[in-house]
Amino acid sequence: MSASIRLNQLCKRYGELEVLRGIDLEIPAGQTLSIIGPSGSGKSTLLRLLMTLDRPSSGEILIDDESMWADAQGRAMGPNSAHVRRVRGKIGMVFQHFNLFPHKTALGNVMEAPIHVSRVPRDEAAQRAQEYLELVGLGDKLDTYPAQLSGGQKQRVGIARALAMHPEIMLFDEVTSALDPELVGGILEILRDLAAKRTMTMIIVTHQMSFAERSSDRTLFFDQGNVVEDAESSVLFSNPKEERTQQFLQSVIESI
Amino acid sequence: MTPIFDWAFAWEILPALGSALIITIQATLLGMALAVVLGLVLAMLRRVRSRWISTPVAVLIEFVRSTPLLVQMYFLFYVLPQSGVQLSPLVTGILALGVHYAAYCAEVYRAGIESVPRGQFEAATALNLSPWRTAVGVVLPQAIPPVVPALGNYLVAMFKDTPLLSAITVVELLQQSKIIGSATFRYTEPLTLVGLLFLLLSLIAAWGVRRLEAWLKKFGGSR
Repeated sequence: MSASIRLNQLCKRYGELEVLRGIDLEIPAGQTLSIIGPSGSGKSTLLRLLMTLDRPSSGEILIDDESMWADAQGRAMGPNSAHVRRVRGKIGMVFQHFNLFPHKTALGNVMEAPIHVSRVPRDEAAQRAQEYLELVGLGDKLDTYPAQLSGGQKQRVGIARALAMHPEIMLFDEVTSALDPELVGGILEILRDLAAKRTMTMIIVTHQMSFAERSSDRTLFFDQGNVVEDAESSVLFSNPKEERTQQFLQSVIESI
Repeated sequence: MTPIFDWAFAWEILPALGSALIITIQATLLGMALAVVLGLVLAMLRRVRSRWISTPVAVLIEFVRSTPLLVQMYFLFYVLPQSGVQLSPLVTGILALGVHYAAYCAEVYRAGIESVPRGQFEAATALNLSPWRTAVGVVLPQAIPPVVPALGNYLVAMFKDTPLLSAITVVELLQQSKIIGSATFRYTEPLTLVGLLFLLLSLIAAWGVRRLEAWLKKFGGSR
C-alpha cells in the first residue's frame, strides 16, 4: 500500500531565512520521485517537514488528502497528538547519518518500533526484523552493535529499520552521502529494488544523478526554496528546459 | 600519664561507633536512592514542553541548589511538624539529603540528556515512538552511563555531608563520637576513628562507582 502526497503553498522559515518559498506539489501514490539541487536549496528541509520533524511556517501537507497538522475539523494538532501520530505512522525515513540507536544491536534497532509502536509480540518482531535484515544483506550481523558496522552496513540497518514499520511513504535523505564511494552501489541497488516493487511512494533526495535518472519516475530540480523544474526523469536529465537546471547539471558533470 | 592515642580505648569504643556508622550508611544509601530517582524525575519534568511545569521545576532546582543544606534540614525539622507532618529525625534528615542532592543530580542528568545527538530524537520521531518510549528506550540509556561518574561523586559528597544530621539530633557517626568524648573527656580516639571510617568508606564507594561504570560500558555497547 502506498499513499499520495500533496503540498499547498508550503513555506518554511528559520528566523529571517526563507528555506521553502511556497511549494505546490502533487505526488501520486506509488511514484518514485528524485529531488536534486545545490546544497541549501531546501531539499532536506522538505523531507524534514514531510517526516513531521519540523512544522511548516505556513501552507499545508496532505497525506492521502488528509491534512498532516490539522484534524478533520481543521483544528491545529500538536506533534504528539493522536492525529499527527497516525499520519506519521504512514511515513518512514532513512537518514544521511544513519541515526541508529548505538546501545542496540542491528536486530534491536529494527525491532524497537514494531514492538513499542505496533505492539507486535517480541518473538514475531524478532522474526520479522531478521527477515528485513536478510533482505538488505545483513543476515549475519543480527547481534552486532552499530559501532562494529561499516557505513554501508549501518545504512542497510537504517533502511531495514524504516521498512519494518511498513511505511506507505519512504523518505531517503542523501542516504549515500556519508558513505565511502565503494559502498554507495550496494545501497543504490537496494533502493532500486524497492522502487521496482512499487509498494511505497518514495522520495529520494540525492546527489547521485545517474541514480535519479535511471531509477526514479520523476525528478525535481530545487533551487533557493523553489521547484525550478519538474519533469519525467529521462526528460529532465536529457533535455532540461530551465537555464538554471542546465547550469547545475553542467557543473555536476564537470565536477566528475 | 595517658598516651596521646590510647589503642585500648579506641578498641573499646569501636562497637559504639560501628552502630552509629550503620545510621550514617543508612542515611547515605537511602538519601542517594531518593536523590537519583527524584533527580531524574526533576530533570525530565524540566524538559516538558509546558512552561507551567518546566518553569516551577527549574525554579525549585535553582532554589534548592542555592540554599545551604543545613538550613534546609533545620527547616524540615522545625517547620514540617508544624504543618502536621510528623517524621522521625532520621527520616527528616534523609529527606533533606535526598531533595538537596536531587537538585544537583537533576543538573547532571540534564547535561547527559543534552549530550545525546539530535539525530537520535529525530530517528525516534521518524519511527513514531511515543515520548515516553523515546525517553526510556532511546535517550536515557545513552544519557545516563556517561554521567555515572558525576553521580558517584555526589554519592561520596553526600556521605561526607551526613554529619550535618547531628544538628537535627540524629545520632550518626560524628554525634556518637562527641557523646563518647563528652563522657570520657577523650576526643582524640573517637574523632580519629571517625575520620578513618569516613576515609575507608569513601574509598569503597569510589571503587564501587568505578565498577558500576565499567559494567555499564559493557552493558550499553559502545557508540
